[in-house]
Amino acid sequence: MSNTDRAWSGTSWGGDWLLRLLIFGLRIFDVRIFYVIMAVFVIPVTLLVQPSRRTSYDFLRRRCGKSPLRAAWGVYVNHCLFGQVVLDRFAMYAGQKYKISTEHFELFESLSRAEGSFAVLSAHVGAYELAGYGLKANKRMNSLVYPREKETVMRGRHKLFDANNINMIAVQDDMSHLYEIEDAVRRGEAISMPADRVFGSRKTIGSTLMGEDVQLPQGPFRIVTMHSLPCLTVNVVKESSKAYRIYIDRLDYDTTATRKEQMSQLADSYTSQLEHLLKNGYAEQWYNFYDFWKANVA
Amino acid sequence: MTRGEIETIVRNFLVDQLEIDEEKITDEARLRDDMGIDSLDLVDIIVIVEKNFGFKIAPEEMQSVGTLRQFCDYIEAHVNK
Repeated sequence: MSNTDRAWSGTSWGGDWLLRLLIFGLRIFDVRIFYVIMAVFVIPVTLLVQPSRRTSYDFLRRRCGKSPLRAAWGVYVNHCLFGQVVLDRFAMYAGQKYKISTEHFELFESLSRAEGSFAVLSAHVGAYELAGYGLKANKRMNSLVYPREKETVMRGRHKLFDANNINMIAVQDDMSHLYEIEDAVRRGEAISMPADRVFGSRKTIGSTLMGEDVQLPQGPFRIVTMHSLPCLTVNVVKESSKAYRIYIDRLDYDTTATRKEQMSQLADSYTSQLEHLLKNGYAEQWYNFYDFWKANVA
Repeated sequence: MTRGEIETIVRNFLVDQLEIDEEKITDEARLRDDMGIDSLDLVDIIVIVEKNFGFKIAPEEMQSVGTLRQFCDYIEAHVNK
């Protein structure tokens, strides 16, 4: 039994039945119909009641330098896109097809074919989960996931991930998921983790993003540098209603430097790639709906 | 491997890899409360111990290791088995 099975807390009733109803509806109707319903009825209400509109506006206005009007419109677009990403996930569980293109796939493929482990770091930009559907590695990919999803979501993920040789490692309160990641590295398998949110250990590493200091979780950078792993960043962004693009980039660091310097170089390489993505047309696909730059600061 | 060698290796990796202040590293220092070692550090320790001493720590066994002295005792018991 995998640790994601042990960690499942979803039930077959309550919220889960709504998700199953949604998937049923997506088997019949194109997802774009749901986009329209969401954009007209759901998002405006969400913007009225959720504090995320403020952090989203602040991000677009202050960090991205958009005018007040563009930033305000961007908040609506940001929330619509987030809703679409959520719907797309269920649409894929329901069997709807999407076009997924890839940039620099050769970086992923060469590491996938080479001996030894490698790491993929992601961020809460775009729809990272879809990388699992679009990228198939020659070796097992162990992907860190948050376990407290409904059973329907986990079932859908399993169905699509299993076909692409992806093993889900659920984040555990006792941090035992870290040992599973270590074991995966020992076996020469690939590992995949988000590197923009702290959970568990409060230890962070500083870097700069969009011109200001930011604190990132140490975990992913420590794991990569402990084993001197080749490291990629993978970001999946929405290009149009039923098309996604996967951007793959290599993260550089000097494996002969001190551990501290390696982690710092890796973190800076990560934020540099992330900033490049955000500044090149994908700012509205930033889904860290909190003050990212103040979070985790001691 | 002598006890002195074990302690030197442990002290060095606590300073170099985990960036713990040397002044905090005493025999009776508690790993968690005094040195601030958390679960993330423990993962590093497991890897480093395996590289330096040739055995893999079982995480659950570390529950009963409180101080640096106890940690070195634990390593010594495994190394000199």
